[in-house]
Amino acid sequence: MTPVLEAEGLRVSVPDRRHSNLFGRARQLEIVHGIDLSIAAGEVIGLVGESGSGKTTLGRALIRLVKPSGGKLRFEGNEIATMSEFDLWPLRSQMQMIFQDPYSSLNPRISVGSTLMRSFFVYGRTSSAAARKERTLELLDLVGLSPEIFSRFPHQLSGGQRQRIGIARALALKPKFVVADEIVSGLDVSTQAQILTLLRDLREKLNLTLVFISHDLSVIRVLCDRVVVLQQGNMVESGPCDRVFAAPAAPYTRALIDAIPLPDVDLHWLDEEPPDEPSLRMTG
Amino acid sequence: MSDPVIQIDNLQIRLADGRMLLRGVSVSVSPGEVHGLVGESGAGKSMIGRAILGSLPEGASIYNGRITFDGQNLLEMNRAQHRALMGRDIALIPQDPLMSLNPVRRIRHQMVDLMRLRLGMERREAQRRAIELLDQVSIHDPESVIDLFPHELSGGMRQRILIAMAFAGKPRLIIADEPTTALDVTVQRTVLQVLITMQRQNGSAVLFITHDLGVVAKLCRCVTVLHAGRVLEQGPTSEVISSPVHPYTRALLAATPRFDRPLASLKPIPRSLTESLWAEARTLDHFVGAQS
Repeated sequence: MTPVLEAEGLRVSVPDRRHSNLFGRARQLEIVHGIDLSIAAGEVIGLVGESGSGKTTLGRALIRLVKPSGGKLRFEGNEIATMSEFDLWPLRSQMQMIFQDPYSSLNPRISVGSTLMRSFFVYGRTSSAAARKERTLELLDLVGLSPEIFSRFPHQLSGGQRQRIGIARALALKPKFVVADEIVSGLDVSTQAQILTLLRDLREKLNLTLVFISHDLSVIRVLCDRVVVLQQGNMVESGPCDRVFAAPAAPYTRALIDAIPLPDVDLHWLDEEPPDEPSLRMTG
Repeated sequence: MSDPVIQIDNLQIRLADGRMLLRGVSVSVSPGEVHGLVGESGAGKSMIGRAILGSLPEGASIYNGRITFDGQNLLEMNRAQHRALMGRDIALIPQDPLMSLNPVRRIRHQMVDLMRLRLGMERREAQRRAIELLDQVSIHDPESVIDLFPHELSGGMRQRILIAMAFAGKPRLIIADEPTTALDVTVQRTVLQVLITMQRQNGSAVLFITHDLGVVAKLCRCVTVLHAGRVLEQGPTSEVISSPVHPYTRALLAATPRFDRPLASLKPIPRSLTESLWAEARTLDHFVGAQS
């Protein structure tokens, strides 16, 4: 079976604003240095790393929100790394993103129902306004929201409800591939658990193919099949969650796991010296 | 046991429209003790810290209760007396260090100003002390870091600088309000290590406000679990976390994802539980209203 998404030596650069010249032109700074990744249908992959590791940049490149600076990227066999926006348009609806902050990614001036209906309109999937509304109500039900939410505005919703809208919008067009970027990190423990269980149910129901970006290994562990560990733009480890968490191969992964404070009482935890990892010193 | 540094008795905080933010909270912290205040947003955990610091949000006021610091009633002090304690005997480590540092002044001036104003030090002495403090919070090469601007530092460095500033006056009480929430786990660990080392050296008491039960389990000897402005469970961390009695504490633990357990064991807090707790809290308000 061909993988849904395949990256080979994927490199991503962004303009380095610190070194822009008089005309605002900036040198390119490489953030992601050659990543190989193959994602099968129905697979949920966790992308973990510290801030600055390039996990968000990689996630955005996977669905071509940013153009890779090198390497290959195939979506269902189509080479999309260098594809023009025009050729990419029919594929856009099949690759979606759920953003970290649902508040800033929703238009505050239109109701969430209109926001969701817009997806159907833009991609011309439905014939009439009534059909669009019906599909939107189905969508609200799918993410566990009641129909009243349809006419609400983003500021009237709680953080958890907004994130459900973010999920609904990404799933509206039944995409083949979704990238979720830190979607539970700003939420309370109880809301976070609700969103995680919702994603678990959705993945079973819809056979979702998902790249789940998070800095929190505990969250990745409960949701993902496979984990990819990034450090300063390089993949340092990749493998099934069961294996990686039981016996991490890379010292960096070990350091990340050891740094998680589990809710088990241990007042000597802080007295243990962290492993001497040069990169950790740099970011400290 | 020695007298508590801070003792809060039946603290109630009310908004101008009559809604209650805190519904009678009692907490006391002994010298050298780290006490965790844990709860979700809206539980009122930050309000306790803000009441001590005298910086309640607009419209909120103390309705009832006592806050005793070192035997003195904080709520009966005048502004000048209260201010004299702040930054010296009582210090805050805030959540967001970037918001708390002046973006257009070098670290040196911010630290020196603090020490001249709050501790009455001379400039030269203050500069020496600032470098010494930065060294204590394990900042490499403090002589050059001190001349940087806040935006030139990483989040972990900024938070360590605020820890250094908080400990400048050898405070008796530190209020740490989610100090590591914005940091990566590895950085969180080193920042917590620095915080606890400083706390042990100074023998300060710490009120550690957090939503993370994991951090509480590694840091605090005692913990208070808050919900809807009420204390649901309070006691030694070894008891509260290891064998919680209140159903809410149990639900909170079950809703915390852990890498050593599968998703099946993760259970969101039942809505019926939080709803009945809110209903209970509101019934309590009627009782308070009837009293006044």
